[in-house]
Amino acid sequence: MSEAVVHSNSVNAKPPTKKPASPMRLALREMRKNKFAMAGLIVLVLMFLFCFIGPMFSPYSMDDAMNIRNANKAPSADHWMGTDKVGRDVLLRVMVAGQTSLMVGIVAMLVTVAIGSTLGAISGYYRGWVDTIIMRLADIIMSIPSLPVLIILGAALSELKMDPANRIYLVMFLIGFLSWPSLARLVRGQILMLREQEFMQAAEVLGLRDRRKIFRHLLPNTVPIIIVVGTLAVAGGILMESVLSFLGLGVVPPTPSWGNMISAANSMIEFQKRPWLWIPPGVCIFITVVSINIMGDGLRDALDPKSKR
Amino acid sequence: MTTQVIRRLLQTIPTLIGVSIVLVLIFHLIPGNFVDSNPTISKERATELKEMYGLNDPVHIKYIKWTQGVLKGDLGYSISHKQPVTTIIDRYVWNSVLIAGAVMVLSWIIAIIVGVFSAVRQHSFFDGVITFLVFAVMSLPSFFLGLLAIKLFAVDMRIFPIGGMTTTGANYEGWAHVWDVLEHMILPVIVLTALNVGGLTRYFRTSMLDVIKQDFIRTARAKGLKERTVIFKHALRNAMIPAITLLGFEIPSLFAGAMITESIFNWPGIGGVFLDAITARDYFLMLGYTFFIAFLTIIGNVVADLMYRVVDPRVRMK
Repeated sequence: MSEAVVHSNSVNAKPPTKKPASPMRLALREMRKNKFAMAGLIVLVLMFLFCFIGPMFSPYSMDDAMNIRNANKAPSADHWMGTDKVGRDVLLRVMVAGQTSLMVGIVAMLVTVAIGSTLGAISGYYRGWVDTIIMRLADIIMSIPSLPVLIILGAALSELKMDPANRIYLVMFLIGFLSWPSLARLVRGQILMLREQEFMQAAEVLGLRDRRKIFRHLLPNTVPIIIVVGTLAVAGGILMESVLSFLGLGVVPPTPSWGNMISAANSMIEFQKRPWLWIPPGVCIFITVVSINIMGDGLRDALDPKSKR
Repeated sequence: MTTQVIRRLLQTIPTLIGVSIVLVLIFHLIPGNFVDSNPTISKERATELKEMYGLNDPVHIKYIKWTQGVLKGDLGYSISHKQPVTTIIDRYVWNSVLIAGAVMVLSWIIAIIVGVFSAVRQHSFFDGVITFLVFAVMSLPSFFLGLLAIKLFAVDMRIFPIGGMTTTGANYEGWAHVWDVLEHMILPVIVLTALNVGGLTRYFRTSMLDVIKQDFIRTARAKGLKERTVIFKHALRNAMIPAITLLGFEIPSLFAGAMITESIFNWPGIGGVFLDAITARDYFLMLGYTFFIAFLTIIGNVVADLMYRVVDPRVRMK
């Protein structure tokens, strides 16, 4: 019986807010109430500071000469996370690697959002054969398993002996490119619904151009969905990059990334005897992705009126 | 219903053709091949081999040859294994299914139980802990979790074997063999279940929450039914309906093999074989495997669609 009472309480409708606030502000207010999501956001900010500001406080620098005599030291007061096989400070490398991994995640997300929302909007706005073609393309890309294809393309990049500095950009683009279809579908669904609404008739009467109607009037209304999918896409991008780099097919040395630092574990001795080489970057990936996921989920709750508590 | 099944199957044909075009194109464009990356092959032999496997053909010829084969149930010839690709897939895929099947059963059981309880006690401490754990396991990179598990349980504590499917050198027979394989399965199964169970738990929790709020649950309570009956008989059954379609989506992962986990644990599954094929530049094997998974994904979607029609009359009406 007590169970039933608890439930009827939790379904209670919220009193309507008095002032009409913008949906974004309402969402922010909702988000601030979600302690989980706020904790995720704070941890994420700290992780960014750690990666981008942290190296300035390190007594070492990425340009330091290799020091073999100082190699393979366990964590100590001088080197909090020990040193690697050529005597470089692992803590500094973890921070710099984080810059790469976070960048890959963010740029891959931007690629996904740019392609996904544009194609989704065009598809939903024009319907007809344009829609058919774009959605067929989305079906095809969604059916192709992305990890095997990324691995194959990664191997191809290695075969081409591409410059590691440029290679990162390609990796970002490829990861982003393979994940646009699901966002495109969501945006398309929203646009299909929005284009029938009255404000679009007004836009019609004003004689606005299609481009303006799509990008100024329709797409802004799908921003909540794009934000949620985009946030989660950053997490997905970071995970994907780490797997590829772990296999030596994503970001390759000398550019450090969390994934390629963990590939140190591929050698039996380092795996068994020197866990400080591969556990810290793994923990960093974990912390980052967890906080992004939790934050994304909080955002979804905040932005989606259906999931209000 | 039959016409619907046929129509739905016909719809997959353009997608399948699209997938095959994209895949053959990718494989055509990537540089390097088995013959050139093997220095032991003489020049004359190399030209001969390239001619034999059609490595010099223009892309449309490659595509036509390959598709003709696929239609006859032939995915090409694996150069590094010196056997047809279908034979390789058949040999290794069942090892993958063994693991994936165990993972699926385990994760569904855990996810249903945990999902139901955290939905019933929404916003409780238990629910909070579960929600956090769900995100935690969803956020671990598979290879890192695998490596940690090996380091902790196989290297440091020596409870489980480090990898492989059987103990090397020991030729067990009968039950001893079964036991040996089981022992090797435990760690990869735990790792994969951990990675898999998060999303499922979340799914059941949401689905259960939707059902619990509905009127017929209140009616059931009002009738004076026991809370256990209400939750497990009335609510859970309805919450399972959308989950049934998930079974369709799980088809590809059942056969695809977990590439990373299999190779870390040295398990002789199809995913690990695929990773090895990359180093050997064994194109037909890579192409065959990728197409095999894409095919299963498409079939899985159809199955999910049809199952949804079967279990939900509202969809069938349309």
